Amino acid sequence: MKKVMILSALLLSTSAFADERAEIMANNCTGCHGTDGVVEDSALISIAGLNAEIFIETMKNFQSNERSSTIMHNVALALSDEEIAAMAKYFEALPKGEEK
Amino acid sequence: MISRREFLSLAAAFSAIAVLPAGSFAANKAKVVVIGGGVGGSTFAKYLRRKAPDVDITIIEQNPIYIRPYGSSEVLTGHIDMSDLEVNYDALRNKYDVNVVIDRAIGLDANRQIIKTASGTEYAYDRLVVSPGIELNYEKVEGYSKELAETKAPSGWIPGPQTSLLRDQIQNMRQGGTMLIVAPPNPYRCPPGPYERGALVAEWMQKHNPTGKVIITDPKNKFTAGSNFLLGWNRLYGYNIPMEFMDGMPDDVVEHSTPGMIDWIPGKDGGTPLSFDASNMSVETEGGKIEADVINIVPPMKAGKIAQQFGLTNELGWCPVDRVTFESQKIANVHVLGDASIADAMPKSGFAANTQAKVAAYAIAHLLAGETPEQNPAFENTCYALAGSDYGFFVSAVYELREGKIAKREAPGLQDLNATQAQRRLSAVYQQAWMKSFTEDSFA
Ligand SMILES: Cc1cc2nc3c(=O)[nH]c(=O)nc-3n(C[C@H](O)[C@H](O)[C@H](O)COP(=O)(O)OP(=O)(O)OC[C@H]3O[C@@H](n4cnc5c(N)ncnc54)[C@H](O)[C@@H]3O)c2cc1C
Repeated sequence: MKKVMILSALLLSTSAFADERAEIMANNCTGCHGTDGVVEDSALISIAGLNAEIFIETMKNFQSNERSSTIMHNVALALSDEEIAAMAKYFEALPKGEEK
Repeated sequence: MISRREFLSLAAAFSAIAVLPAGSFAANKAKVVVIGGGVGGSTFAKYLRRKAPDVDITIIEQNPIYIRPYGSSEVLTGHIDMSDLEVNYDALRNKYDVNVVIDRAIGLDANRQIIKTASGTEYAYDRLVVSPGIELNYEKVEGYSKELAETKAPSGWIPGPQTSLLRDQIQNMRQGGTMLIVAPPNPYRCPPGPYERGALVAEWMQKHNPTGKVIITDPKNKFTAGSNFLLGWNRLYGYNIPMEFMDGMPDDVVEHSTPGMIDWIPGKDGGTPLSFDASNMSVETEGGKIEADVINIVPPMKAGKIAQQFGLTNELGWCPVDRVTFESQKIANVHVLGDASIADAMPKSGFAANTQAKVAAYAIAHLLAGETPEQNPAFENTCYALAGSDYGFFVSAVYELREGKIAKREAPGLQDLNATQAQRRLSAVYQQAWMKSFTEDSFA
């Protein structure tokens, strides 16, 4: 266990902080959509592994109300295009729930 | 429990350990001690572990099981049981290798960077994180006290025996009785909370005590998501919306000819509470005396007591912090999260505590590694609230740093007053789902 941890610490130190801002933004989603974007047995959906283009399009549709929502209209309007694109990329790279 | 001899040898062991310089955690593990295993403390420990696999993390928490405050008003109507509020520390211990100690922090030696607990143990830290929640200032309402809150007029703002006492009082109230809620002044934990509680009790009364009534007396003239609440109360409980809140209301608002089941008395109409009289169960307000069968007082509050004792609070009782790292502006290497901290535009909510904790965890991981934290963090708050079990809405906002303070980004922050019935119902569904997914993100 300890060895694994030290090894992962080394791996992390090279890459983990690379795109930290996207990760910090994405962490604001996970209070509803689950740690690493995975939530099980819930009315709320997992967003891990979502295709980045679909993520972006969905956020655009939330902004315009083309897709009806509750909070997501407001949240999407509070984010910039670059932030949405960075979060889309971040979540796309995460394994879906069943793959974990 | 440890014996005095064990304690002495422990203390000796601790004083023998030199405090680690930042950035040296490869050889000797850096030590992070967290006081309070609530939303802020637990989310912090979990997310720090994900960033810093090799740091020694200890949570000192006084209760073996966390009773979550969010959702606790649902106990009052029997929608959930007290036991449904319970959250354990199994995942933090087993999955995230966090040393969760059940003990009470009582002392801080900021020079030697050591925390002392009620059992007599000492914990050395490189970074201390304090997330103790709130202290209720019962005495700020004349005639009210902790003892009366535990026996006669519960507050139930830190969930526990007062919550079940309040539930029993509501459910055993005489037919046609009145529940009086005394709302607190700003700032306080969970801004929509007192109004949601009133609505849930009114809904329960429609079934079980149809001639009963809820009165909310308030020192304030407006409150979070106020228009959404007033509209919901109009639709569900026969409440008449005051003229000054009619702007933007949908066409179906009805002017009721009889008094509704719920009434709200703002400060400008005499709602400011002055004193509580336990012997005849009444509250004196600026507008006169209100008698009630059940009295629920949410008193003014401050940062959790331990934050005050440690000297982390300002003259108003809250903790000033750096908004990037949440490091105290009073004591170096000590960080304050959650309700206790001053987070400018962010409300004192569980969601806020959760996103602050994540930002602080990343910042502290960098600091321990001798690096500079991300200087441009972002936070969020989302609180679903209910006017009835099928009638929800929300407040939501994204926050960023502006001139060293946490500011709300320009965007709508509330549910549209013209939301459809389906959206109201969906908000209520998501409110329930959030209780679970949020608890998992914070504790599991
Ligand atoms: C009725 C109600 C409804 C709410 N609804 C919502 C909601 O819908 N959404 C939302 O986001 N928020 C909601 N909240 C608010 C939310 O619960 C709090 O904002 C959140 O719990 C704050 O987290 P915290 O870490 O600051 O404090 P807490 O979660 O209270 O944790 C503090 C912990 O510190 C421990 N502690 C304190 N002092 C010591 C000591 N000296 N030694 C050891 N341990 C100590 C305590 O035992 C406690 O476990 C609600 C609150 C109430 C009362």
